[in-house]
Amino acid sequence: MEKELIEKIIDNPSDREIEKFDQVIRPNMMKNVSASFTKNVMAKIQPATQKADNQIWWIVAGMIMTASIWLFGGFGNAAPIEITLPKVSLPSIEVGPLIKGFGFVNIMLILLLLDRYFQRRRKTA
Amino acid sequence: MISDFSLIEKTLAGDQSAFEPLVNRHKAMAYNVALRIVGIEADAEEVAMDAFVKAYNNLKKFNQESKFTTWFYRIVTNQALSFKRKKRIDTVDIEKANAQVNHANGSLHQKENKLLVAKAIHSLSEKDGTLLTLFYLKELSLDEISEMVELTANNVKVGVHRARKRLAEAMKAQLGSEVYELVRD
Repeated sequence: MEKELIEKIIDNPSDREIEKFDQVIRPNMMKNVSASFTKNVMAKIQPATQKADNQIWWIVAGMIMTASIWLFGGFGNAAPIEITLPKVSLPSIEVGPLIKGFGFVNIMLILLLLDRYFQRRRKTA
Repeated sequence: MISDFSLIEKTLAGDQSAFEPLVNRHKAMAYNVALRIVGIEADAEEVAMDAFVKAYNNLKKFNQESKFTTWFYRIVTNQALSFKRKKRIDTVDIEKANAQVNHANGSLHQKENKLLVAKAIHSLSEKDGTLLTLFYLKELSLDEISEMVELTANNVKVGVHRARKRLAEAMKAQLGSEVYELVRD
């Protein structure tokens, strides 16, 4: 670059000299992003939306799991299990409340997943 | 040309592809502003990408009373500053600037100019560097820049004038040191 032009800019430049200086600086200062930049940004955005859609499958899986637990014993009259250990006798354990408690936890889990799903949907919308 | 607001509304309505023109429109600003702060090209690209993803995820929070560039500029600068803090990059040294310029394509004259400008711009303050970057981005008006950096248009004009002068001074110093090195060698 011409040293005279640089010196003029420092001292007292005219509009024409400023314009000339800017014309030289602009292409040397501005850098271009890579050709795949936009594609990469869009690819980074994609998973966030897909993730929200995929959460519905977790909810379905949770519902199936809960339904199967309730079907295989949750609703029936659970028979008490007698457990006798050598030399130590334990009182009988009621399995019914345990299964119902497990079912309750599952329902809470489903509600939590539903909440997360709708939150994510709202965010991505 | 579709306005930024229409594209944002389309994106918010669920048309994800409407965000693509927004990225194309503002990627130069995001990248060059990030580069001025983090100093390394690869890092600046990462920062710019993350800023776009952040903007997309928070698009609902965008207050349409201000311009998208103003809102997005803040996301880019915040992202770049936190990246810099995380990486503990205090300053970009001249060797890094040299390495970047040496990779640039072009004639010897172009390379010399690029090297000269790169060395000079890295010696400026972050404020001067960012102001000049925004000014030399063709697509931004003085009013837009003033809104982005929260200064009046007149202050931006004066700031750019002073930053340009400081850039010229740094370039002169660079030219002087190169002559000194040639004489010494």
